Amino acid sequence: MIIGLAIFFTILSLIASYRVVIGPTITDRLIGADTIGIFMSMVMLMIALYYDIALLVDIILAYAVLLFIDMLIYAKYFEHGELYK
Amino acid sequence: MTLRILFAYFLMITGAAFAVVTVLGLLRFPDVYTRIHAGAVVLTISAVLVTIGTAVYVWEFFLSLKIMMIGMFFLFSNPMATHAIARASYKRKIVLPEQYEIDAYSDYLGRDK
Amino acid sequence: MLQKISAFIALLLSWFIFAGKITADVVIVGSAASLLVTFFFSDLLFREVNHRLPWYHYLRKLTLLLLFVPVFFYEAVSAAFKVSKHVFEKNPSFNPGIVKVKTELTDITGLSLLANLITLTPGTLTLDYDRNEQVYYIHWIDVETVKQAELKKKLIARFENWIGVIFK
Repeated sequence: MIIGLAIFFTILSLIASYRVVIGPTITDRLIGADTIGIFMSMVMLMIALYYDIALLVDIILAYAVLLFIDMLIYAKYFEHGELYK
Repeated sequence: MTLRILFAYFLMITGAAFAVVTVLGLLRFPDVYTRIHAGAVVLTISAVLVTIGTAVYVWEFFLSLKIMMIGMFFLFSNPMATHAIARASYKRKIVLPEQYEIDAYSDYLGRDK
Repeated sequence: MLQKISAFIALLLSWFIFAGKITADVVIVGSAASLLVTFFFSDLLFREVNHRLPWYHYLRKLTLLLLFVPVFFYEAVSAAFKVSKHVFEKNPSFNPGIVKVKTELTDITGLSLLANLITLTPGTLTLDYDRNEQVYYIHWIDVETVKQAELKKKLIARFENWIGVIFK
């Protein structure tokens, strides 16, 4: 059941990568990348549950913070054209 | 198979169904900003439901609290990230909506339709 | 002073959650680390207040915020159902538009919380906030005429009342 959900989320993120590869504009690619990041953190949560690794939960928290900061930095870069302003 | 485990499975499967809705909306919606809607609302709820289901499944005090913290972080951070992306793509003219009838924001930025 | 004390307590509580147990060595190392972080970076976590208020005022605000989280979650779930109804239509067709909504709030935490709530409600997305005119610019997924936009603005006034009670 748990490992089935992990495989399911992996397949969904493969389908969502259509928007990253084909997507007409940059915004589509960013939204697709955000979706894939959140699905990957869910996959990591399921793996931590299945193999009973409690340490992986800390890594997921750090991964979520990094995903948020990544999205903000990309948005800022595409808005201003440069990072420091 | 107690009632608690069944409830946890129910939450996880609801989250997975919302994830399917997210991917379908990402593929099917016609406009960039409507795709952002699918990414902002449904994706957040799917992630939060899966994390709450996991916290119910584990059912230890500190570990469940830590997993709930991930869900809370997603609930508050994902709308902010999508807002930043939408505003950037409007301001830098990466994507411009052409056929909108009501558009107060382009008046604010000082552009003509 | 109140800012530093509350930052120290919040950091120590999150240290306990990360450590996973409360024993003597965890308390000693955690309070040392939290004290160090509080000494340098406490102004990043909570803002310094200008006007003096009694301490139970902040306790009331914290309790109301914790009570607000289930409301936030419920609104988001009902919004997700309304958006998923659009997905299963045969031809997803919308009439998007960007409207201007005036707000009365001035507190910056309440403003960002309201912006998050607007983004999570069905069919709306916050694009920008103007500090001089106190207006939000909101991308609406399905708005046809100006009259309908006026009617839909009442939905947002409901959330604004709730947040105005917390951050008055």
